[in-house]
Amino acid sequence: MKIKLFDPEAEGKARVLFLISAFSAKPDAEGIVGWAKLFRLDFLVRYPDVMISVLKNRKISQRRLSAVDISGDIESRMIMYRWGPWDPMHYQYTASLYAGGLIDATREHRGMVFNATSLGNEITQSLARHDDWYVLNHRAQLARDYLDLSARRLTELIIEANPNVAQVKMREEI
Amino acid sequence: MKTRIRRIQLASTERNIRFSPGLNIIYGPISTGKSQLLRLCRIAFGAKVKGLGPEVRGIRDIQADLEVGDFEFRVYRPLTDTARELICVSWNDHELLLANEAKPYRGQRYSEWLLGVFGLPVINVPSAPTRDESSPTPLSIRDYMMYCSLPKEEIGSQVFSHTHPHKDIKRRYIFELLYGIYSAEIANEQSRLREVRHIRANLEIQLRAIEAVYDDLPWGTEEMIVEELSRLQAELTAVQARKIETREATEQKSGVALLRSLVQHLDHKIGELHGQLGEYEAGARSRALLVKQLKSQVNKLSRAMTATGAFGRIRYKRCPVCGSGIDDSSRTDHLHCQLCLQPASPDEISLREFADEQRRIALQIEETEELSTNSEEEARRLRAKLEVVEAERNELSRQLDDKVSSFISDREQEIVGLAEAGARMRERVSTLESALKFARHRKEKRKRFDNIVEEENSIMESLEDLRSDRGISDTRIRMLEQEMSSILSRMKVPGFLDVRDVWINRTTYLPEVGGRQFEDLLSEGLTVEVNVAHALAHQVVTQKLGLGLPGILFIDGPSAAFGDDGYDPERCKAMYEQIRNVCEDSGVNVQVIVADNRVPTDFSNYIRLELSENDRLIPDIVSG
Repeated sequence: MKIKLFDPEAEGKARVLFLISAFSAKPDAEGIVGWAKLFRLDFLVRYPDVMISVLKNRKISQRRLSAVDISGDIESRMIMYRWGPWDPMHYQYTASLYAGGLIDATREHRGMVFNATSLGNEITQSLARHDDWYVLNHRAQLARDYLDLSARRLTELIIEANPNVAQVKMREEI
Repeated sequence: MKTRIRRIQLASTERNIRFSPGLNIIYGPISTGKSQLLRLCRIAFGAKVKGLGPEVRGIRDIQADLEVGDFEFRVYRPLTDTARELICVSWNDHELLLANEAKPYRGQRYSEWLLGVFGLPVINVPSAPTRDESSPTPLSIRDYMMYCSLPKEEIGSQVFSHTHPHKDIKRRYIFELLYGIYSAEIANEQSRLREVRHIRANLEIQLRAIEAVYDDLPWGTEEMIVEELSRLQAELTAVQARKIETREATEQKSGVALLRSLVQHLDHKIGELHGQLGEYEAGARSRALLVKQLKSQVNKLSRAMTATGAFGRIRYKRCPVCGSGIDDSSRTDHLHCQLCLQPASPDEISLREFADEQRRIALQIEETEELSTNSEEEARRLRAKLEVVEAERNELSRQLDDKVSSFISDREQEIVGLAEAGARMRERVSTLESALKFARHRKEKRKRFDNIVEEENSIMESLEDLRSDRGISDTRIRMLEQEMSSILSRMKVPGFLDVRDVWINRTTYLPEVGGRQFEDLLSEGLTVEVNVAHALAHQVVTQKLGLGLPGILFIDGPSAAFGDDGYDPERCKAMYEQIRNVCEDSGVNVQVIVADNRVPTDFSNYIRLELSENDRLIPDIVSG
């Protein structure tokens, strides 16, 4: 597969865009605040079984959970860094999305705030129509509806759902 | 053995008394310390610290220069007998610390060491002389020193403490040792006899118990048990053989053997089929997992393709590195890359690559699924076959059970009978084996007992032999009698006493003079004379014959027995002359120390220490 110059993996970029776009669609349109929150949310979307356990602990209704089968294999692995899951590609994804005008990234006192632009929303809506992206889009929406929490709280929920995560050593794959 | 005390010094006083070889006299009125001095001298030779008067309380220790044979040494002897106080012995450049008689003993005791210095044997003797097996008691230097001392409380009434039961036993042993009636060999034999009799007593008890049990049992002798056991074992073997033979023959006849063989064959086949099926099922699981993973890859590729397609139309509005705006219109056309300005149409290439990869994976999925289908068919076939084989096996097993049941019912009585007979025989065999073991144990114990009895008899014979050889001892005792008679004849004893007739009782070893035992010598003066003559005779004989008795004699108050009324100075002088004669006999070499308050004039030059009311042995200021 040819690697294009500074075109980070399109799939990863799309997944991050889905998340940012979903959170930007909330009534207060706050987007995703902070890198750490973005990493945790991406972890949940990439590790569907962990996401299902977390959602059950968050008392999601069975009807909503079973509306779409979001289970599956791990999309792609992340590594443990400091206090939680991390992927260095996130910086390239967001840089590329920002450069392409698909997201806005502003630095505030709370940290980096990511919001989708109208062009970014257009792209996600276009991709969501494909069967391949239907499940992942649904995961992003569930994250928006039930997991719009602080990075710290998301970390606690992840470990609660899968204590093995806490045993992984730094820079090792989860 | 030549023995001498050359000097004795009392600590905390100025008393430093020197003695000469031969006769030494300590003169002084009563209660001036003469007897105390003799006791202190005996303490220097290993006596226990007792019998000392209160005036001695202020004396911490004594120091004495002693001589035994050619060995000269100095002893520092504390006048307490607590375990902490050690006795120091020194000679030339040597020094030795020895324990006293207080327990717990801290190393070798002074009294034991002195035995070695005198060359006397260390012997344990039976505490009851008539019972060789009685508990042993050691002979110490103090027991030998009994023959070297006539204390004032005994000189007129006892011969070397003979009226004290325990001391009398020791006195007699010392006599026997000195005069060859007893020896270290006899002591060893007695010790062995004690041991053997103890073992015999234990064996006797054990044997009695074993015999009591054995007699009550109906087993008979060991030989009878062995014979019965052989017979039973042969019978048991025959019964077991008959049982197997009956079963095999019947099985063959009824077809049970064949059925059993068939069932076993089918069991084996079922096991094989299960194994094969297991392999197929494991393979199917692996393939299912592979297909799942391949499909997941396909999905990922699809997503990658769609995403690439979606992002491919996006033109960068900002530099992805620094964030500056990009003026898209002037940089390049749509045929060139907006960032690197190179001609390319990478999206199609990468999209094509994605599609190729997808196709390849799809093909792999197809192949895997086809393989799974074939494998599943084979597995189905195996399951069907397994079902058939299992059904056949179950049917044969049922037939076998039926046949075995009927076989058992036909032969039930015979089989049960054989089994019961076998069980009875095995039980009997087990009982007889235990009986045999017990019988052998009894035999062994009996044998051991017989051996011990034999050993005991052998030791008793040996003891009898050792004791029967009285030749030398009789000679020595006769010498003693003659010497005593000779000494007495030179003393001015009363004429009614026939001093030619001196006899040492061969049982009590006490002197009898003129047919009279010691207790029958009514006059105290006479008992003193006899006692002194007896003690001197022992010294003469033992020193001349080298029998080991320490060549020193302490005599306390010989003249006191003569009384004041009717005091016969000539008799006293005659006694002193005999003492001096013995001391000056060059063949004897004995030192005698006499404490007396009345000394014949001719003997004043033998006085080594004169005490008085104003010059006691221990001044009042020291005694407190």
